[in-house]
Amino acid sequence: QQIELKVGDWQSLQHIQSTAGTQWFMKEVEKRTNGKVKFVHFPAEQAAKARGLLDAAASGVVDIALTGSLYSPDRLPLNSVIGLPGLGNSAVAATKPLNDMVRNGLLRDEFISAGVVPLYAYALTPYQILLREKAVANVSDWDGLKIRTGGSTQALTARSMGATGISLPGPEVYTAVERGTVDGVLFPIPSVAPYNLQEVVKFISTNGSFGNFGCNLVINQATFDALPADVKEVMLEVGTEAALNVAKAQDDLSAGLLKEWAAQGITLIEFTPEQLKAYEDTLAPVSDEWVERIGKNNPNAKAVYEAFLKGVAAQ
Amino acid sequence: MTLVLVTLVLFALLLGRMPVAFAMAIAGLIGLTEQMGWTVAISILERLVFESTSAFILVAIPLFILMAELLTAGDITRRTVIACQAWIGHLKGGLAFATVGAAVLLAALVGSSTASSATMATSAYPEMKKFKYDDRLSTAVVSVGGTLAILIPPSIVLIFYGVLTETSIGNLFLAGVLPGLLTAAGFVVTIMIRARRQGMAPPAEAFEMRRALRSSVSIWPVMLLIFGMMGAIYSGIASPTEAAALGASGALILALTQREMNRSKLFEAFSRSVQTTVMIVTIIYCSHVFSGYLVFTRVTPDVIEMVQQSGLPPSLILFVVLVLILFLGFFLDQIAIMGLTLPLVFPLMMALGYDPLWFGIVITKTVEIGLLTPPLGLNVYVTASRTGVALNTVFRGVMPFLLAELVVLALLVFFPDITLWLPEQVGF
Amino acid sequence: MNNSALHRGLAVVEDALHALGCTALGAVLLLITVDALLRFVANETIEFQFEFTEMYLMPAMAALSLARVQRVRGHLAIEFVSLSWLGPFGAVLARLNHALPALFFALLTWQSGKYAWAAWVRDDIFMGTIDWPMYAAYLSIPVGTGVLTIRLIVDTLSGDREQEQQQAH
Ligand code: NA
Ligand code: NA
Repeated sequence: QQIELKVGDWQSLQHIQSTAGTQWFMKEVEKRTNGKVKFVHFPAEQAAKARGLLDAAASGVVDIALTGSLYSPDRLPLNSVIGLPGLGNSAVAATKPLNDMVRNGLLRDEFISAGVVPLYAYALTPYQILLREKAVANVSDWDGLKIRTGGSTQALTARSMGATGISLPGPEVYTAVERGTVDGVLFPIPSVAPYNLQEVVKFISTNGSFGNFGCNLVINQATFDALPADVKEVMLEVGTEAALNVAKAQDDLSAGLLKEWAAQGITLIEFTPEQLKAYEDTLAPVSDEWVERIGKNNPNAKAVYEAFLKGVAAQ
Repeated sequence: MTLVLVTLVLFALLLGRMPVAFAMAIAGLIGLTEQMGWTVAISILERLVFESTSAFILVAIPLFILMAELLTAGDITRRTVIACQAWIGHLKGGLAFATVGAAVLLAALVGSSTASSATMATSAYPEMKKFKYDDRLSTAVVSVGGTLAILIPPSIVLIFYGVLTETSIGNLFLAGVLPGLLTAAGFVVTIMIRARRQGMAPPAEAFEMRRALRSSVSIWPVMLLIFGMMGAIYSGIASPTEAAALGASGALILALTQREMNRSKLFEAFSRSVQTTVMIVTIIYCSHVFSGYLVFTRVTPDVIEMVQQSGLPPSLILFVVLVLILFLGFFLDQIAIMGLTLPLVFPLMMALGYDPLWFGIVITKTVEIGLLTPPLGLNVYVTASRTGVALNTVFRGVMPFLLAELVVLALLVFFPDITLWLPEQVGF
Repeated sequence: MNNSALHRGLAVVEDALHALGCTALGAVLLLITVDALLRFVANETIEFQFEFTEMYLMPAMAALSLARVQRVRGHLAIEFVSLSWLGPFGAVLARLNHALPALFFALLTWQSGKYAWAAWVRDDIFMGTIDWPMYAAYLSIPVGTGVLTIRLIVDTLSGDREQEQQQAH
């Protein structure tokens, strides 16, 4: 008989992560189960706020939800590893190890304890620096810059380079950059356009790795257990494909956007291998601090970080 | 079918005088229970309050309220009114014009209509009474002048709309400026017509330069505060939220330097600000329970599809929505109306292709009119209770101004540029 | 305990919580102002300000004064129908107006209390500028709604005092 599942996420229907990720997943599962599974989609925080979606799936308000690891760092502390700088230079590069570790590795248990089963996980494109007035090349160029950061890892990242990390709510970022309240902002390229930040910055880096963000599609544990074996299998199979599909789509979009904005007069910053090495060295203490602080309550923190690095390097 | 029942429950509770927030939460929870079962429905309550209130963007609400409370406690708002009267009070109907002028100034400091009307009832009305202005004119000007506060930034209602619909609050503030000034112009024209009637607005004191200059001394700090806040935002020194904090801190310093200020007034200002904030955020999270129910019934997409397939022109739908909101304004407070209607009305208007900024101003203007209409017109109530003039007299005096309000609303609807021009020039 | 002692005791608790809510507003004002000025003057920030305001001060401000606001009838209601028109039925309705919200807020207290308790048991930490304990962020909500529930129950039992409305305006 027909199985109907409610899906909640926070992006609009036009967002790349929705079209190439969540919606793509739903369509493929519907197709490959010959219509046995049907989804009812509640996009754009309709079902719950982004930060509440993990609980919404765990309690059964929805069956399936997209969750952001950094939206619930208290519930998914090890998964907050994705926020660290230096984990790969593309969405695909970070997604492969992330999805493996969330699905079957050291990052899985936190989801199970929260009452959900992870179907797939993907990373965004690594955060780049966008600047309104002055470019940066070397680490020393960051000295004294006011940088809008999202969350503590990014704030640490900015501070390690001598900049001041400034917290601002999303809706105030555009004004803050336009009026010069901040000198720059750390953002993943595909998220720049929804905020129209390309209108108010002159410089964008292309190959930095200043942290990342991880998204996980999760399903209520009891709902998952009650599914027929063949449906479970299809979901997990489609899940891995969806993770890579949405990662690649973001990388492609990012490349296209950068080209478009360069044509409109924005200067792209490409760090040299030496500069990238210097950033890596400068930012190493950020990861050390993460391992130390998360490690206090989670003995696996160091193992998680090292496994992630190894997974990135293995590609 | 259950949707109809749940809606009936909601209206029964509202008519039975249950607070709007509680009524929405209870009706919503009944609906959710029917939709997803008891255990799942109440699981929504786990994080409800935390999630709705743990938002930095909400901070501007208590801060702007606090700024107004402090300025009133320090007697600064009253002196602003007196200064305006000293400058133009001698003209025909001048004390009424001065009230409108002071209302515009106060509006740039105060985010709430009733607060503004209350201030003017105690400061502008006595002077008009002294020179034997007709009560119908003087109390009406005080009531309608207050409504400017929610169009001219800062505005609690616009912040509330911005939070519920995720529209830029900075842009909403800009969008409200010209409609606010247009409304003030409408009041001026109405006063000019009314003042011509015999005995409506007898001549007041002759103009006296020394008196005018002396009274203006107290306006300077107020101007400094207004332009300081604007300047902080536009020069990039501060974000809008930070500007609210700087404004409130400025008001605190200003108030503390006034003779009229004392410790109990200071505590009272904080206490009232927190109470008003609690009232507003309670409506926010309780309306989330009700809108959550609407989401899971999927009624919103159904209504949108129905409307789109009906082939009715969007303008007709808009007209029906505005009439409905005007009607709700007979009974309900502006924040409550928005909490009640936006979950359904906002997605519908967006699907019809209307601009979120423009709609924000139009709906604010519409609920503002509700502040002046019987049986519940909060500004009229406040004015009547503070001046001691009979409620009926105030309502009667307000009528000609309501006509002006409707004309302005029509202008805003037919010429969206009045609203959108400024944000387009300097938008966020 | 006699009735008026109960009322007085409850009012003391309500006022104490309200004072905490007002303190939260004072803290928000101070922190944001100093943070903005520091950035402008010295290119420095108060790093914990944002997280502390968002996770602790705002929920506290929103929840702790709930019962006090109810006591002074600060929650908006339609003041159109007078319950006295309805005769004895009006008196029942007046009690219902407190009993039903009492039920709702009892549920809310229970659920949000359970949630805070779980965060305490699990030792949920939000790694921010400092390691924030989440139970403490959640705690003000069951406290505020809990006292509101008691206030609503007391009001239900003592019947409505319709004339006391709208003092907050
Ligand atoms: Na205003
Ligand atoms: Na009204």
